[in-house]
Amino acid sequence: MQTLDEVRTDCETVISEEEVTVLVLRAQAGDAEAFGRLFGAIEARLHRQALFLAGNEQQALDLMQETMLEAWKFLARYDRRARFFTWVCSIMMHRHYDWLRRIRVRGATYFSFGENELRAVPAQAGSPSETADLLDQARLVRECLDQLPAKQRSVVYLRFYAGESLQGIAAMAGCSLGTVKSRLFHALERLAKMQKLREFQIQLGRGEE
Amino acid sequence: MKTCAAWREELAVFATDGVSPNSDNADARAHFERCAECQKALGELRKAAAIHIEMGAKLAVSYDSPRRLESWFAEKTRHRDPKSSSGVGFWTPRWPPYLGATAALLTMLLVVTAVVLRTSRELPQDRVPLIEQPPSSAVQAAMQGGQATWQAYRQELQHGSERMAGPISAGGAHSHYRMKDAYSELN
Repeated sequence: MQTLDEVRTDCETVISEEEVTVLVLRAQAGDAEAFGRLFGAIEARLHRQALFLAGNEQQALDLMQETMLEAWKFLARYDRRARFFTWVCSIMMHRHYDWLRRIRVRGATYFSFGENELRAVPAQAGSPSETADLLDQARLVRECLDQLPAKQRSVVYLRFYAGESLQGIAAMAGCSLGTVKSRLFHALERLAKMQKLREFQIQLGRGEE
Repeated sequence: MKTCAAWREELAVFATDGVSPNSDNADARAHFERCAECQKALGELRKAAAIHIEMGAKLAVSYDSPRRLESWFAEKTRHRDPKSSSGVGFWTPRWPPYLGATAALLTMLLVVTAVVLRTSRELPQDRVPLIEQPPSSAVQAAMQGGQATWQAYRQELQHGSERMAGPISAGGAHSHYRMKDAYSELN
C-alpha cells in the first residue's frame, strides 16, 4: 500500500511551489493569463478529483469550470496557508456537495456510470476490466464519503485525496489541530463501521448463494 | 497519565501515516504499544483509512489529459469588462428563475393589499348619508326617544331609503337624524 508521503510526491505539480506562488501573486493582482497557467498546471489532477466526485465526464467538466470561476472570483481570499491545489480541491468539494444537495432536494438521481465515464478514465488503469474495477471501487468509496457529516468529510477528502497535511487543513478550516484530529478520528470510526457493515452484507450474500 | 479516550485523536493520526504533528507522538506510541484496546481500535481505523489512501493514490497519479481549462478560461476572460469592480466581468449571479417570479408575485400581492386597505378606509361616495331628503314621518315620530329612533332607522334601512356609513347604534342613528333635521331647517 502506498503511504501518504508517496502519494504527496506523486501529487507534485509540473511546476514548482515557488512558481505556483509567483503565479498566484500575479493572478491576485488581476492577471488572468497567470491564473489560466496555474489551473493548466493542476488540471490533470483536478480532473481526476472532479471525476471521482461527480461520477461522469460531463459533470466533472462542469464542476471543474465552476470551480475555476469560483477560485478566480475569490482568489483574493487565498492566503497561502494551504497549498493552492488543496484550496481549489476544497472549493470543488463544496461546489459538488452544494450541487448534490440541490439534486437530492429535487429527488433526482445523479450517478450515471456510462460509456462517457469509461472513456474519460485515463489509460493508467490498464485493461477495460481494471478500469471498470477502479470505477466501481471509486463509486463505493464515494458513497461512504457521502454518508459522512460535512465537516468530517471535508477532513477526509482533503487529507486523503487532496493530500493536505493536518495543519494545512486546520489553517484552511480556521480551527485548531486538535479539532481536525478529532474530526478525522470520528470520520474513520464511521467509515470503519460502514466497512464492517459492507463486509457483513457481502458475507450474507455469499451465505445465501 | 492519559486514558485511552484522551489518546483517541492521536489514534486517527497513527491510523493514517503514523506521523503526529505534535510532541505527544512518542507518548502516544508508547500507550498504543501497551494498550490492547487501543491496538484493536487502531487496526480498525487503519483498515478504514487504507481504502481512502489507496484511492487517493490512484487519483493522484498524473496522466496526459487534454488541457481544456486554460483555453476555456482565456476565452472567457477575453470578453470580460475591464471596468468591472470584482475583476470578473463575465461573472453573473445565477439566480434560480423561480426566485424572480416569487419576488414579482410578492410585490404584486403587497401592492394589491395596500390598495385594498386604502380604499376600504375611504368613505365611498354612494355611502354618504342622504341628507337631501327630509326626515320621514316615521322618523319624526321616533325622534322622541333613542330606542324609537333606532327602530325607525332600521325600518328605513330595510326599505332602502336610508344609508349610513360607520358603526350603527341607537345613539348614532339619533344624532344622524338630528343633523338631518338641522340641515332641513337651514334650507
